[in-house]
Amino acid sequence: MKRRFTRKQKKQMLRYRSLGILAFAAVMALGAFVGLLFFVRPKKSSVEKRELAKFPSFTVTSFLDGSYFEEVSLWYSDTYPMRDKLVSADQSLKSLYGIEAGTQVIGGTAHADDIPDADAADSSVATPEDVTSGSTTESTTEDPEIGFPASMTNKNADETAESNTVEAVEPPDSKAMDEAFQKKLQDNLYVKNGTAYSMYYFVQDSATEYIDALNNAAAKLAGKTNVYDILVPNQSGVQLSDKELKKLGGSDQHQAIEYYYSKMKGVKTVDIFDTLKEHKDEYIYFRTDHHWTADGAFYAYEDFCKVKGITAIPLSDRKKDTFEGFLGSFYSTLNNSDMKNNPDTIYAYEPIGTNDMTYWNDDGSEQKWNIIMDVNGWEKGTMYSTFVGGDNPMAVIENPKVTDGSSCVVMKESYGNAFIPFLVDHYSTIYIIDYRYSQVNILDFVQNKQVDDFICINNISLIGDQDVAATISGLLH
Amino acid sequence: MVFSSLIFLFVFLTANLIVYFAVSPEKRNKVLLIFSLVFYAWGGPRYLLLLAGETMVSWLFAIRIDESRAGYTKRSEKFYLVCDLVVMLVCLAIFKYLGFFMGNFKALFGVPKSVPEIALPIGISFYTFQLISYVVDVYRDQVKPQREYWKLLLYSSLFHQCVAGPIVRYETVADEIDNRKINANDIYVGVRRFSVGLAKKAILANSCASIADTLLPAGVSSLKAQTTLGMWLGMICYMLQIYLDFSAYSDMAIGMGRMAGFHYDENFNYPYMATSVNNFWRRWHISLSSFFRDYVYIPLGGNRCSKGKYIRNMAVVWFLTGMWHGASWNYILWGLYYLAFLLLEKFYLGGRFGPVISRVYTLLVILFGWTIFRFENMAELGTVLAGMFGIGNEGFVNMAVGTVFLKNIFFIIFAIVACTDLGRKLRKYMMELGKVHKNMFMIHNVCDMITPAILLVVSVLALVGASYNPFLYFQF
Repeated sequence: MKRRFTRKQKKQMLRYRSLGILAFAAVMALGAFVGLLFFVRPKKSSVEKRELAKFPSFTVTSFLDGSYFEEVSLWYSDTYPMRDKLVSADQSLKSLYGIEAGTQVIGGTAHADDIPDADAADSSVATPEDVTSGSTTESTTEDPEIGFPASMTNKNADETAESNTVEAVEPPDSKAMDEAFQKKLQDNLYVKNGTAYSMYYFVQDSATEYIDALNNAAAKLAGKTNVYDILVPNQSGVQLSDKELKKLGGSDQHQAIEYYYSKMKGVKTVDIFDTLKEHKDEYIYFRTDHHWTADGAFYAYEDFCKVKGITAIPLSDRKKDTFEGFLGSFYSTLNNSDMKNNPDTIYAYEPIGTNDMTYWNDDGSEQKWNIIMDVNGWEKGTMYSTFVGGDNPMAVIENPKVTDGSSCVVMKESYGNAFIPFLVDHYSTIYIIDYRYSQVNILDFVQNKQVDDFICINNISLIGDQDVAATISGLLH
Repeated sequence: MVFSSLIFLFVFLTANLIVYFAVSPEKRNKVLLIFSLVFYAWGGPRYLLLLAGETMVSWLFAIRIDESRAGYTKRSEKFYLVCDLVVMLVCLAIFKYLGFFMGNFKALFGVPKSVPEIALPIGISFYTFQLISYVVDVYRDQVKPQREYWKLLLYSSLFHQCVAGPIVRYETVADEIDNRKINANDIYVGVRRFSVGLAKKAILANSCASIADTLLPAGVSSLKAQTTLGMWLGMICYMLQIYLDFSAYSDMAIGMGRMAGFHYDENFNYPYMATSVNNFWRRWHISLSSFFRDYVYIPLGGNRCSKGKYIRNMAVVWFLTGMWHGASWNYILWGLYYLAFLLLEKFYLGGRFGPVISRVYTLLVILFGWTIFRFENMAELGTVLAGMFGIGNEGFVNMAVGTVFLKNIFFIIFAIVACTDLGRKLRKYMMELGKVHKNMFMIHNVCDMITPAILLVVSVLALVGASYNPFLYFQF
């Protein structure tokens, strides 16, 4: 016969079960209470480096089709108090899922086009002569100040009578762009001993579009402004051995850069690949982040100076700042314990003439800032922002020590940030435009400012994205 | 609103439980109804009209059937039944299948020029079937018609099961709508069942989904770049995901029902422990297969007829089963795929395999079944099916697959164990030991006490941690 619980045991069991209900109810009540604390709801997540969902505004359509409530639900969970702490607790739990091998490959399923021979004639890229001209003046807006920092236009209004020719453009959908960036740099990774390497995949259509855009800009600016292009390889191409790269697949980065440059007409190209490769054992790329270090950017700066025909100012002449404990984008993607135990250190070199700059936010508001900002004590994931205030639609650096009136426009994404501080001592004025957030047509802007140099500095993976290439093309036509 | 969301847990369910237990028992149905309507409206208030309308039609015709039986109306009982079925099936056809039919028609004949895009009302497949079962059961005199409209609406809209099943028969809850008793043990069992379901969804199913989606990315060219072993691992994770996800919703529904005093029937019985395909379908989504058995298969003659008719009956049932899962050819193919194996088992294979081989064979049939189920795009489906045999894809294995596997190895083992009855056996064993060993009894009690709260906390962490939260069964 099967044994039964005694009456006393049953009573005891029920007591524990009742306590179980109470414990469950207590957690639910606590969760509900914390959820009500709307004033401590976060607006941004620094761990994820994004703005969290906003409470939706009510419309009858969105109410009826359910999208209003859907957004309310999203807002509720996305901005739940203590979100970052809860997320990191969850990540610790997830680390129990398996074994974190020292060497890993993440993704690796992207498709790469074959890179055509750099010397072969290729009709797919338009030559400057083919480029139709005249779109810039036709498409001017009546009000030059739309989408254009007001103080920028006013400041130089008298010296440039033609300042009305700057076309205001809708800033590109930076959310879509961020996704493209995420995909290009974080989806296909090789991880070895706490260092992540992002793979590169050549895309012919994007290459054609980018080359065409640069050629168009060079043709339009010929005789007035020098156009420079600096393509920055990923750390995988520079630091991994050929054998490893072959095993991992993807495209040859040096060959890709040579192809890009071979198709450019009238553009002063700066091939930094071999230089970086020579210094591959130095600390020229971060281990936990997809960016290069200021030391890597310095080698690119030396190459740039050679092409421009000026003398580079050595690192030893500059004040060196050190920021420890940087855990960058690869760490946020991978949550890798090797990285956590051995974070990056940022070394930054302050310009000699000035460390002051001004940048404009998305809403046009002006901000005084430092070219090399002290980021000690900042969130570990955001420390790369030490360079030129991070990523903003526009920034200006004026160096009172350079009095020749020389100027340049730098079109960049975040790779350019570590590079720009080195330029400061060579120009009276540097305009920095991040093409992802740009509110102006960059070609118009360059023509309007009549700068000496127009410097494009881009990571090759990013311009390999078709949305990115199309955006750049739109801003340079 | 999905069960596995913070707003459901900390706003909706918390408020529901507080109000439900605060009011006097006779008001509890009204509380449930109001909460159910709000829950349903959350996914788009306009569809509430459809739900209320279908319920109204079924309510009216059921009463008419009853009146006709008593001789109060001119028309026959059958007439009202047919009217009801026509309305229900036409609604389902328009909202779920019209776009699919017209798309196919257009592909064949070039007309109409534009195919209307009709949004699928949430849960339509579930509540339509519930209402059909109700009216047919009234027609068969198995249940008494519900005289009060709002109580029938409570049955069809009850948020526990309205959007993701199980398909609860009216018969199951008819008495409990008016008379239900709740004691502390019921609430505890309900709470525990809900927590288990929540954790199954938030932790296990969502993680399996993330692995499957990593290994099986959308697009033919991405799939072609996947290795054979990668595809197998991806499909195994998808197979785990689909059971853990779907059964988790049933667990949560059964758990919430139990807290409120309802006893819904089980919907799953460890289907991946099945010993044959036939056995699998007795363990998988039981409320759906028994619906087709009772309302289609048996009325058509079941198996007590000629071989030809039997095959026809099976074909009808499995064509409909496939189509119920979604308006796309791959679901129909999936239904017919099972038809083929069921007939094969019936006429040839029945009992030929030993216990081990029969389980392996069953799991393989299920795995390839889910492959058909996953890919609505036929080119993608073909790529994966070929790739699983090493045809046309990138090699056998690569380091990326190794990384995913190692990173999740303990998790995958745990998820596989969660699909078996090992946990339940262990609990039973502990309970038996507890009857004689004092210490074991205490351990058992403490486990009982802390399990729901711990599962809830860990699930909340996972829900906050994952912006990734796909809902597999809104499709239905």
